[in-house]
Amino acid sequence: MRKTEQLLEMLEHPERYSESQWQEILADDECRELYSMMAKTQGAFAADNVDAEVTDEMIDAEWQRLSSAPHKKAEIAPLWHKISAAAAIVVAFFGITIAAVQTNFFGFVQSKEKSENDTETTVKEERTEVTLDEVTIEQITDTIATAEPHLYDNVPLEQILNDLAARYNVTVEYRNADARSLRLYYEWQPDYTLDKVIEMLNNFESFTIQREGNKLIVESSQEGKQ
Amino acid sequence: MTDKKLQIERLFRKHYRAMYRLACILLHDGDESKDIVHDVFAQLLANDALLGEATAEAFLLSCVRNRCLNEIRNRKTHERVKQLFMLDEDLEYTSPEELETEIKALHVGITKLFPPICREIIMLHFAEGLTFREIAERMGVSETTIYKHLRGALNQLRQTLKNAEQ
Repeated sequence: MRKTEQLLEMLEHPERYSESQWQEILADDECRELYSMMAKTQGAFAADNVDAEVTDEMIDAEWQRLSSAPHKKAEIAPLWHKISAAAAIVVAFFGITIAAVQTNFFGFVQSKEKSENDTETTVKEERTEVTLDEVTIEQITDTIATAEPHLYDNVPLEQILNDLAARYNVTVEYRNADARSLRLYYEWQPDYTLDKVIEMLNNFESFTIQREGNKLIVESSQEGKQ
Repeated sequence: MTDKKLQIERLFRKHYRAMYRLACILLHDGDESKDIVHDVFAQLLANDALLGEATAEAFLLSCVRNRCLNEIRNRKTHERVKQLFMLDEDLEYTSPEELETEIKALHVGITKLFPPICREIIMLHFAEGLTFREIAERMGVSETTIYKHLRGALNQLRQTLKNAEQ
């Protein structure tokens, strides 16, 4: 039997085959190309349905669902996992000029709503204006916050800890590398003490953070620590 | 209602269709796509920043795309194939413009499929959701015959896309 025929047969009952069987068949160039066309064709047909499906009523209903849902911000310290394979995705984001305010305390970037000649440079801040043609989506979503609480949505632990380490003037040490890329949802408030932050982050089961003086030690807990 | 919420509602109504369409192209599923668009706006509501009107569409579509790609990348191969999600090598070429160009080319390609049974199989499987076995039964031929024509159809479509690239 040709491999491609086998692929189509497998697609008829995808659940009957294991991960390794799928990887094996899709390692074949011809099969991968065929699968790729199946996926694209499916996408094209999915797009077709959209025009009929999206009505003003649907948009209204979805807006209601959104605006009546509890605001993430209003919740008290929501903590849950969003662990995903790390993927730095670069998006083209054209013609945006933002003023980056580099503070030595939390590395926020503020969007440039303020006028050029405002004079709140009394703090020792260094202001640089940059034009960005390409920014990573993480930079957009994760630095969009202003000086107050900071929301990390789907951000790698390493990046969160880098911010926090600078904020609390401590260093971070990783016992094993896999914890770095764990992605988390975490809301930081300016009034949190370092110990409070550690306690909150330790609610995530996939890693533990210990404090030793001015050092945070991060260990992933695959071995089933409770 | 705050100014910010009003602005977000305006953006929501203006860009919903394009955002939902992009999610559907990538995820092939209406409910999941609704959730993706929902999450993008929920995050906007939770943040303090206002979006510039001129760049809002590009930004919103980027957010949708990124969430979809994360959704896809988080799944192992055997989970992806159930929903005919793209494999990694195709995920790079999924800017909204690239996808729309491909879709246009595919639609033209589908109308030109030859022999007609190729087109018929594509329509029955992708538009009507019939399994290969059901198509075989309906046409009174073997599944092997269906596979052969389906391969033929997909190869023609691939050629169409190649030609469209040039």
